[in-house]
Amino acid sequence: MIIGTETLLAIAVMTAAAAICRLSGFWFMGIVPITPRLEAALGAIPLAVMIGIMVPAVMKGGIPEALGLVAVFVAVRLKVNDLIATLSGLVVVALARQFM
Amino acid sequence: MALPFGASSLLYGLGFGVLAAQVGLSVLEAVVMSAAVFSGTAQIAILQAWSSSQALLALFATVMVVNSRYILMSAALRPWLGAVSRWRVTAALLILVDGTFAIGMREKSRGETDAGVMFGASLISYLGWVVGTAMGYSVGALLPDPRVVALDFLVIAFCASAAALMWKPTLDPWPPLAAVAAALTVQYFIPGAWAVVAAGIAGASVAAVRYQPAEAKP
Repeated sequence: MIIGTETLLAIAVMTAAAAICRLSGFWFMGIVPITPRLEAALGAIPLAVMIGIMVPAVMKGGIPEALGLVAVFVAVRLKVNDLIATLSGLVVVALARQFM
Repeated sequence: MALPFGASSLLYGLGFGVLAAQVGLSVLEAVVMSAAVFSGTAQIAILQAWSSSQALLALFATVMVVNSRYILMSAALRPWLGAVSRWRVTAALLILVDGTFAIGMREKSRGETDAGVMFGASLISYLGWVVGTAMGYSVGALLPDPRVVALDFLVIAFCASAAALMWKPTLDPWPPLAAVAAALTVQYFIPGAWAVVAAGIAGASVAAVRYQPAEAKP
C-alpha cells in the first residue's frame, strides 16, 4: 500500500492540531485575553520543545549524540554560520560512531 | 529576502525526508504529511518515535504543544489582518511559520498595511519544506545506512542550533531545566512522543509560575 490507513489517520489528526493552533489565536483574540503571564509561558515553549527532542535522542543514542550536540552548541556560540555549525555536529557524530 | 527562509526550510525538509525514509514511511506518506501538517518540529518529534499504530491522542497533544506558539502569533496578527477577507486570512495563517511571522511584524512596524510580503515568504517556506521532504526521502532511501554519515542526526543538530541561538545569559534557567527533567523522566518510563509534550508543558508551567510583573521586581 502506498499510503496506509493508519498513517492517513495519523496525518489527519496532526493536520487538525496544526490548523487549530494556527487559526485559534486569531479567532479567540478578544475572548481570551493574553496576559503577560500566559505570554511568558508560551514564550518558554520553543526552547523546551527543542530540549524535549534532544534529550530522548541522546538517551537512545549515547556518547556520539552527546558530543554532536556539544559541537553544535559550541559552534553556534562561536558565531559560526548556522549551517556549518549544524553540519559540524554531523561530522562529530559520524566520527564518534566510527570509534565506539 | 524570503529566500533564506526557503533555503532553510528546504534543508530542514531534507532532514525530515531522510528521517521519514528511515522509519519506513512511503514517499507519498512523507510528502502528504509535510504538505498537510507543515510543522517541522512536530513532525520530526513524532517520527523520532514512529510506529505504525500510533496513540492518536499522543500525536494530537504533541502537535498542539509544539505548535502552541502559533496560537500567540496568530493572536498577535489580529489587529493587522482583521480587515482582510476571512478566506485570505485563513490561507495566510495556515502556512504561518516563525520566520515569516517575524517578517510580518517588521512590515507592520514599518507601517505596511499589505500582508502580501508575509504571505509570499510563508509560501516560499512551504514549498521548500515539501520539496525538501521529497528530496530528503530519495537521499535517505538511496543510502544503505544513513547512520554511517550521521544523517539521522541532522534534525537533532537543527534543534541544537536553534536552541543555542535561543539561549541567552539573561534567560531564566528554570523553565529549560524543568524541560530537561521532564524529558528525561518521561522518556525513561514511557519512550515515545510524550517526552516532547512533557518538556513543553514543564517549561511553560515553570515559566508561568516564575513570571513576575516588571514593577514587582526588586
